[in-house]
Amino acid sequence: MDIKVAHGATPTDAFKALSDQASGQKFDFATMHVNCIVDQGALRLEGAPQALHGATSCLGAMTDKGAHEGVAVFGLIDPDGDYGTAIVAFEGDVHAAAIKATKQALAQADRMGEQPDLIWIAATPGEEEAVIAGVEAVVGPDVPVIGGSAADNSVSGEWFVFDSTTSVQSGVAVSVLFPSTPLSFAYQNGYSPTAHEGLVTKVADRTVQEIDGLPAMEVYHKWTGGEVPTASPEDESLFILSESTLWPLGREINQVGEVPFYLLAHPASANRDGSVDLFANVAEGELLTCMNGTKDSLIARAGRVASLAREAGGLKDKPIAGALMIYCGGCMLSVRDRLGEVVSGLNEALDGAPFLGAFTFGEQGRLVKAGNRHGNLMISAIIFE
Amino acid sequence: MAKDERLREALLELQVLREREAQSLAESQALLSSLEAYTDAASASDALSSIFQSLHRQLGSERSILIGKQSDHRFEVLACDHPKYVGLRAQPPFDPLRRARAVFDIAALDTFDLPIGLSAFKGLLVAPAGDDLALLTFRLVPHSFRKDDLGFVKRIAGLAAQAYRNREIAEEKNLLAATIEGSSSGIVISDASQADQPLIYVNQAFEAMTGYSAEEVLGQNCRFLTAEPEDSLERSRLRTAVKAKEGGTFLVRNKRKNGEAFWNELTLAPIRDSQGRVKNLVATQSDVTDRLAAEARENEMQRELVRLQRQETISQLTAGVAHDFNNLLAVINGSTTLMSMEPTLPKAMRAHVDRISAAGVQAAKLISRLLDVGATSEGEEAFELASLLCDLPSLVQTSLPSKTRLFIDSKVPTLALRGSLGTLSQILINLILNACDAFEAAKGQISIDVEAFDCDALTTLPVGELRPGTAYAKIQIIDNGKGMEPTVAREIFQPYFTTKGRQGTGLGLAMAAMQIKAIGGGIDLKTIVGLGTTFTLYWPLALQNPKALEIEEIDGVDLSGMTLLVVDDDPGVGSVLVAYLEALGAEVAACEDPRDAMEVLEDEPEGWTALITDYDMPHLNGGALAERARVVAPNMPIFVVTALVKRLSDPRLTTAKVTGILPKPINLSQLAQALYEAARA
Repeated sequence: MDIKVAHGATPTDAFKALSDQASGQKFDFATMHVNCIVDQGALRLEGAPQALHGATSCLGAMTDKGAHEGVAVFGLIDPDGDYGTAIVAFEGDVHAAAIKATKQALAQADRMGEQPDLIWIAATPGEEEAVIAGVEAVVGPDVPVIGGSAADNSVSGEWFVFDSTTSVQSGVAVSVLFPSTPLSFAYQNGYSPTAHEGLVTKVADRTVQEIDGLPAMEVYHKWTGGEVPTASPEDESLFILSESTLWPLGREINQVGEVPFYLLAHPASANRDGSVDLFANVAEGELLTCMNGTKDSLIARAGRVASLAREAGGLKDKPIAGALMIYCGGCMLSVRDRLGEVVSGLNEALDGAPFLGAFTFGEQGRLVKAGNRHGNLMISAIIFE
Repeated sequence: MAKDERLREALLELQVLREREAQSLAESQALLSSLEAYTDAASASDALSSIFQSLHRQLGSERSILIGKQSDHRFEVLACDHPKYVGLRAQPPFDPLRRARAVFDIAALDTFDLPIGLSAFKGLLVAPAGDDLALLTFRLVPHSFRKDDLGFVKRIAGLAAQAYRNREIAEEKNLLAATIEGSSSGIVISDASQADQPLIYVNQAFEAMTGYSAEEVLGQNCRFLTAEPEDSLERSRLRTAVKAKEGGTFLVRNKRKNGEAFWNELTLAPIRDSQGRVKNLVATQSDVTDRLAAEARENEMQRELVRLQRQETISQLTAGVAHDFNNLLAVINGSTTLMSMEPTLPKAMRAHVDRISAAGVQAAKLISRLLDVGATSEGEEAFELASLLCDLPSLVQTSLPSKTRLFIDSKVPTLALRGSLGTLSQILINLILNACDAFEAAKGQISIDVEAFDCDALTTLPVGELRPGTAYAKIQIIDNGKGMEPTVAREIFQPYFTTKGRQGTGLGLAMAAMQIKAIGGGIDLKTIVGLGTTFTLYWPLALQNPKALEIEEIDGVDLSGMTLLVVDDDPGVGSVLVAYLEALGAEVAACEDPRDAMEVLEDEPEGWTALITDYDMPHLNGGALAERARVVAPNMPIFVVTALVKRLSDPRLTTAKVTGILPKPINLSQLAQALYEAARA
């Protein structure tokens, strides 16, 4: 297995830079992450592998060479492995679309009915939980499903996903990976719980209306000590993505040694009616814990997750071919001016192996004891041996 | 905050490691358990079964199979936890040898040709096991396997392949061992690494052949068998080969435990280890005593056949020479007789004529002895049949299979047979042993019946012919064996024809045929497939053939008043006869062509006192002429003159049809006397 990573201002530039590294070898799989402002017409890439997985990434992406505002591409040469990618528009039924995309990807890999080593996904934000359920309906709950939601630059819905032939603004890209060498992964966040917690007493999809019978935003504002502002009476809603990044809401997902671990939901908007919009579903009756992080922890966390992934696969002391990273777009926005530190931490953790990191609006991964989950403010790492 | 985060991170890492190690431990324990079952298995077959049981126990597999790629690139079920599926053909929609696979939903696969009721299964794990084997394990609907289960299957697949290979090797070994143990040849193996090369294995055939049990001989050098002299060339050759641990084939005289000697054909083969050192010597041994005896018999029979054929050739050659020479002598002797009858012959000349006449008579006797060169002497001997049959059971008893019974007619008439007792005995033994072969493994019965037989009509048989007026011993050898196809029956008296393959020589019946023909007898054959075969020997009784006339010479015979017809294709012989008979007063007509003579007789059958005819003539020989003449002139005396009296076997020349047979060169006075006597009678 050989992994190459490149970047460029346009998809064409990036892919050319990638191909230049391949010495004439054909890529068996590629995943490209682009700033949503790129020309979608330029995504038809000559010489791209059939299994080309693509999604928008908030304000560009990062590689082992640094953060890039344009396009980054990760190419994998593995003739002994099998890979397949499919993209399907949601068209009102996210679950069905995920099933269809998974089957098409398996068919493209010529591995129908089989369980891949890993499924790499990129869905447009909104119903990622349904996407995971659809994927698991095809391959079962044991296959790790890792990826990140397509992201634009201002949460204005300019995101899209694409493959080698098409792009959709509401849909899912599913890639099935049957590599010839082992891979390992980790999915984690860098936040600690505070003493503040409350039950969701009223919710509609991703909009939490009440916590402990009080307007949700009022409670949340109080938990954060006022660091996350509420919407003014004049505004329908207030975009709080940046302020809330260090104060996500956590749902206890498992315990390790009686220490609870949390799946995070990132508050995106504070609404005039006192409700708060999240980037993840919560259910009525769920206990929400106010989490807290620091910029330093977000910066250092990426490298630690990468290390954990190596540890999990027993690859700590082995050379690796490369890595794929998912880094929450919200986190990235909080530490954007220090992304170089993030990259440095990753380079150190990965011993300089090539990697691509996408900045996403929702992260999917496999949690210890909890299976495949969608969360916010999470970091994923996939290590290829 | 940072400390809390670090603590949480450490906990998570710990949990990840714990899970990884727990999974690794679980896999190791499962593998260890499987290995224990595998290594504890009593046989390779059990070891393979233990793999399937491990899959069931560890993963919940409900069906497991080992498939192998065949020469046609399809797959075959080589082993399965349910034996009824072994041997089925399989064609997965993927290459099972390329890589391990975890199939979550079999129904999603393309056409999967494997008739084990696939619709009942949901999950499938596939792991290649070597270059041409793959282990497949299935779970019933609705369960699929856990993805991590594939690791266990991948690890255990190699064991399954090894167990299968071991089973194949074990089966091959068992087959080999059974083949060696069941071999009809004695097989012994010695330990060539030890100085004395002791035996470490002997098979049952060796025990049966030598009379020694394995317990008695294991640990000993094989030399206890030898009966060869110490300085025997073959023993020396064998000793050298054993010492050098080399191969070779040897024929040595050995002795059984009971002291009985036998010929052992021994093939020595060295077995080498991976370093090329000879670890064992394998000796394959066969008791070839019977085979050597059979080969000796065959050689003897072949020599006898060649002798008989040569004898027959010489006989025919001398007969031809004698015939022609006798014709010349007939002229010479007849002419001297006529000359001596001439009253005006000067006395000085008469002495010369008498010497010529005497020399002619001596020459005739010489020719007569020449004819004996090609003939057997058996015709001069006689033996009693009953005594032969009395001895016969003891002669064949050792060769008769235990299930075969021999019955000999208890009321054998007293018959004196012409020829050699040994010849008939050999023929009968041959026929009895042939009959034994006809029974194969079944019970059989052979009967020998005897009766006297007077032949009243010429009868042609498959071997020889029967002459009217001749008495024979009719000896029937009857078996209830498998009989013979007509195509076989037609050929069995031909030299080298055999139905016994390498076991037969094809000479026994051919020689019997020649021998019985030589004695003037014959063989008849009746055979029906599935019912049996009857050989009937017609053996001439002693002193039954017509004899050449032995008439004392009488001087002064007067043949006046007789009208004689002389037939001889040699005009010289004919003219001498005519002159002589006319000199005695007879009226004589001569014919060189027997067909003319026949016409003359038919024109005037009553006009002739007697017919004197040569035997060996073109168009119509003496036998045929006599037979036809007897028809037109039933009472006319007929004399046949021939140079081949001793070997004449024409059935028409019986006392009922001819008055006498006279040897050539003819004694004219004997002829005159015979004519006189016949006319008077």
